[in-house]
Amino acid sequence: MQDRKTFQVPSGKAEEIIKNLQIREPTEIHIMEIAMERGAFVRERHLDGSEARLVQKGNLGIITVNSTIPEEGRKRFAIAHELGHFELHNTSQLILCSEEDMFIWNESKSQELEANEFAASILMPEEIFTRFIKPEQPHMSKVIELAQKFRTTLTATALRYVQLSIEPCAVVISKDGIVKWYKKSTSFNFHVKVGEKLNPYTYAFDFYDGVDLPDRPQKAPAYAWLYGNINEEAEIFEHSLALASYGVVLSLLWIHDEIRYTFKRYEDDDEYPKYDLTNPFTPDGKRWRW
Amino acid sequence: MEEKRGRKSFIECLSDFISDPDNLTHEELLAKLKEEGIDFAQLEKRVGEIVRKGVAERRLGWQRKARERQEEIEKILEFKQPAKAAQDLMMKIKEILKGSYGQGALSYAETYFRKKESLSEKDLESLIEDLEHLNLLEELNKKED
Repeated sequence: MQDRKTFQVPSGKAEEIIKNLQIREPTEIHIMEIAMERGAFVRERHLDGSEARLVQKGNLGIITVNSTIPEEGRKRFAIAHELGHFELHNTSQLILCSEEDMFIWNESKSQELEANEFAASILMPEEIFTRFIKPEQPHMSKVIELAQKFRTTLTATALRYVQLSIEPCAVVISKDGIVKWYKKSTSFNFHVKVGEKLNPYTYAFDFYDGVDLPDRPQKAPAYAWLYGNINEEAEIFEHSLALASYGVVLSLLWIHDEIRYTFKRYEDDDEYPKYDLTNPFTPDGKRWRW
Repeated sequence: MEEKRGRKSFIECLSDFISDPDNLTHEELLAKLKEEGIDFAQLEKRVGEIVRKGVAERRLGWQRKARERQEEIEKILEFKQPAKAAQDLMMKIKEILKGSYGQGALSYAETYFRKKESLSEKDLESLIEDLEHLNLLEELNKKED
């Protein structure tokens, strides 16, 4: 068995394990067997106060996952999350993780965040996952298809999807009508309005207004989602999906090529010169270089 | 699946393997096989499946071993259920605080007291069971080593 705690980057550690175990297909990612192979025995028990827990002593561990978790994806994620603690953190410990801990994606240097990153990477290894992502319009039905293929939760899959997508897209989590947090792809160069009430012009808002959500991506005003000095005409694709039992709406946002540069920048700022981009020459008579 | 460049086809391999003395062409060999009621395309598919399955089983042999290990531990632990009386539970907590559960036991207890609002008595019972089972697994591992 490979020594643990050699790699401290969660995703690197997870990918290394996948590589060493010669896993090549989504159907081969059996998280209980992976945990056992690494030294952690997994069992199911009724737990009142947590989603899962880990007791660990050196290279041995027992992961207990709450047997009342109804969804396979959530259960697998909880096991993978505890395995993340087992692989990355102290060698002698007790860890109790709540359902909220599995939702921590934004706090830097948090052990819960590291465990979540590890879980996402081991359940959806980059090399295998990206084989199923084509350069296409981000679509929630694609996320659902991937979640079924990898037996993962919709939230975790959507996050992984935007993380590995080359398209300028983001996934936003709203709860009780408030934008809680978001993750974006590297090419999504805008910031989502976190902590604010959902704008009534978003489709996500409709869920809290009792309206059914459309089953295809729809255009919504970009300013309804994004911070900044945004042109009122600029639009963004939104595909929202309600996780009704959690009171959560998962929104996939995508900036289409044709509209991604329609945002006004520095327009009202006198420090920045205004250029006429339809003129092939710069104000001093030179040709524009793109 | 696209064949790798320079890789021999199944019929070529079969022909080489048989080392046909009469220099039958591949077409003739295929015809002979057909005469004998052997569907070559089916045969190739079936052999491919067997080989792929065998390769995958060898590649993922660790999964079978892990499952066996998992079942083995389940059986061992099934017969090692710690007592669950409340009084016994309090005694065990005191033991944890004294460090009777080995290295790191104090941190277990600290975590319990820090997060006790999230722990029910049942959770605590099963937690102590986990701790005891972990010690047991450690002993088993030492014996096996």
